[in-house]
Amino acid sequence: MQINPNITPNILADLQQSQSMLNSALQQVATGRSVSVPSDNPAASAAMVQNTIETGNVDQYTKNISTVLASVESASSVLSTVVTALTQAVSLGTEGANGTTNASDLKAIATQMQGILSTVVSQANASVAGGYLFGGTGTSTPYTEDTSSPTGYTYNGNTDATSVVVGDTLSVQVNLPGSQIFSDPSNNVLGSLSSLVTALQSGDTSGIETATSSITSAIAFIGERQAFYGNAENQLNSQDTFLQQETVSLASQATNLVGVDEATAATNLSQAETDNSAALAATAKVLPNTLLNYLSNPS
Amino acid sequence: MGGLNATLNIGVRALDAAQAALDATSNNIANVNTPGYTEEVAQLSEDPLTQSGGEITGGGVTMDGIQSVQDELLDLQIQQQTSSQSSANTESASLQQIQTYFTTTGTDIATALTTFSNSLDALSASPISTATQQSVLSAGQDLAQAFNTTANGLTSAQSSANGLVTTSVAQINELIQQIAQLNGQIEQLTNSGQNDSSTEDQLNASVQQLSGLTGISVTQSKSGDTIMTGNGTPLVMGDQSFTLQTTTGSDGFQQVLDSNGSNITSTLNGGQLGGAIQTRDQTIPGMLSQLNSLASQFSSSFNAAQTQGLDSNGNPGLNFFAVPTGSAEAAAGITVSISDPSLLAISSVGTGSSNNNVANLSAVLSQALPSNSVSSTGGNPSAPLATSTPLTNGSVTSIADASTGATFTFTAGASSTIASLQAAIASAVTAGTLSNGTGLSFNAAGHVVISTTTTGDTLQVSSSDTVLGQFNSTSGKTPANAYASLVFNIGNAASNASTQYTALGKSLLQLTNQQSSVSGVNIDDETANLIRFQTAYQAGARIVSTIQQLNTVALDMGSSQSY
Repeated sequence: MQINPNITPNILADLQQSQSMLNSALQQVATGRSVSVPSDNPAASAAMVQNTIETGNVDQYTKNISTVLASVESASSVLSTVVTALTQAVSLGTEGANGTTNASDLKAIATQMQGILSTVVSQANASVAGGYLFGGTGTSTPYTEDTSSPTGYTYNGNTDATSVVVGDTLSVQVNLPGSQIFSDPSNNVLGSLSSLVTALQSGDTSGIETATSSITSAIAFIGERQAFYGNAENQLNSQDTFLQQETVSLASQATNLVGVDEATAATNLSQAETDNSAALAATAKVLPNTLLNYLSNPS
Repeated sequence: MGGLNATLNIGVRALDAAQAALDATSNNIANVNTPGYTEEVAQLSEDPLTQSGGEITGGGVTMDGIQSVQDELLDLQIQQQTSSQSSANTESASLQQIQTYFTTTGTDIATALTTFSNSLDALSASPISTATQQSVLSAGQDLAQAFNTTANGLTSAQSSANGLVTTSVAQINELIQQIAQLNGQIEQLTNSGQNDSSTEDQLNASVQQLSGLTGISVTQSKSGDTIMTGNGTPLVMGDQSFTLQTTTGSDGFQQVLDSNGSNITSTLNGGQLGGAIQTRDQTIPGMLSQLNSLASQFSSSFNAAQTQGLDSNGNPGLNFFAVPTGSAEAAAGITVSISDPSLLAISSVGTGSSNNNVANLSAVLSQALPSNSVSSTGGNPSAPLATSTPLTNGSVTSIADASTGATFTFTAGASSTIASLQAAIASAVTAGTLSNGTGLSFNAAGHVVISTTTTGDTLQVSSSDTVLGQFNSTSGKTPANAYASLVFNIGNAASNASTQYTALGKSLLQLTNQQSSVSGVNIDDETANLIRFQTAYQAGARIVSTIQQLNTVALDMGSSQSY
């Protein structure tokens, strides 16, 4: 059998292959990715869909946390201020209930109490970034003065709670409506403060005592509400930490799936370059080689 | 008669032979790069001995003709491989075009799903902000658009494959007419006892070209090639060609008819035509149906979540997505049907929870999609399926009945239909292994919902055991998973097609090498032959001139003039 005399198709195929290896090595170095289209690695491409969506979600969960954490922290500090005010109110009430206090002193205490009441009301109307902390999801000022109400104030907010999605299966309730903190039927903080003011103004000692004791129990009640916010804050913070780890592991998963190790890519590229030059050099040597080169011209 | 004249005759024959061999050699050199050319060799044989006056002398050389060097088996193998390679090439080219729609480009479905999911998450943090509501709406529109673009990309690849069917058939018809003509010429030449290698080379080149267009089987004979499609539809017999026709089928695509008008589309494989048909009728429709069921299931689940809540005005939620009734156009026609952000159903029915429905909306993205519903009216199909509807994907396994402790198992097999599932459910109820209301739950429409905790598949049956839903490959998967598996399928198909193309290319190169080594022209050989036959010609000429001198000497014998 004669040897295949026509090596051109072989040479062309080899050159094409070495060129395409060079191209793909170059692309990997240039893009830093080993998978550009799904056919490069179908399984990795499918896994990357999941990875992209999860990464997007984790980013959004993190944003959600930072959005609501501010309001949860404010709410928590507002409640601390309220507890301080209430403690002050209890001591004023105790002072007023003391039978030795005279009428003018009681009036002075009543004025002080009125100040505390306004402080608590203004705290209950606190807002962060345009939204009321204790108005449910309503957009109107939570508490306004209302002389017809026995407590002196009307709640204008709603009873809606906001739950924020901060994980694939985790959503955290981040607010309590004011009606469950400041005007709860079982422990009406604003009502107790108002009746203390009224009792002090009228010098009603037993009224002062009743109001003071209900404010004392309100301190414990507010403390429970504080625990709610503290708990939400803890949950959000620990979820934030988890999400940071998740971001890192998703990023490393993405690198494993479609990324390319720079050192390997660079080595591959230089290997492909060498192969390509070798193939070209060999072609240049082989192609012009025929018997005709060695025959002398016919005389 | 012996003597000088006989020798002169031998010399002339030697010149003829050398001349013919030089002809063949120069023709070989001239055609060194001609496709389909096979090396020609002058066939020489020794002339019968002549006996003259008791002496036996050689009779010289005879030129029997010029013959092509061919290996027919190799030719056939090359034709087959060419068909397969060309088919893989067509498929690969089409899939390469398609898969760009499934890469992360920023407008693909994966990106759109991410944005949509993020916009819903953001909505949970600030449910009453018009800006976040608006961003859910725009992200929904982007998602619908991503579905539209991807579906259009698939259908446009499908219609370009369809265009390729028409052009391939036209090319095939042209070639088979040409082959029939060549067959006729060869038959005539054979009948008149001639052998024309150039016509055969032309025929081989045409058959080779035809094999790149469609899979063929070739029978070679003295009167040319008989050519049939892989399935046995005749294309060329002797000098007769049977042209193919195309006609628009009920699906709007070109169907291929044989010369009798029977539809042979589905039986054609191999070659550019086979590849185009495979891509158009199998590969792309498979992907489209996966995409369509994802679009329709996703939109119906999201609409169900939307309609279960209340919008910002306190009205029951309206459908968010609108999907055309024909499920085949779900992905191409999906749109967002609400334009006012306040129509997003953020709150759930009841009090004390303002944005609770947002969690239901986001859950659609993170939870498994329900089994494919049959009607377009949301989760509850309006009409039962035909009982002959096949149940091929998925299975109902191990539904534990709380009251009896028994389990009900049904695995959908190749021949399973809704009727067989109905029968299984009915006999389980009769046998007491399955009792209504205990192992099963009823949904709002009064349909029994069977769900398997192990696979997450859900199947709906009405309380009268009429199956209303069917299994689907997407069921039990989250939208992201369903899309990821589509990406995997497409990437896998594209990579398989191109691997196949490369592998066939390598084996084809091997075969062509072999063919070249048999029929190819080697310049070195031909150059050496040139010298060899040149020398032979010179030697033959020397015989002639020697005899001429001898003749002169003989004629001059007795004459004194020259001496």
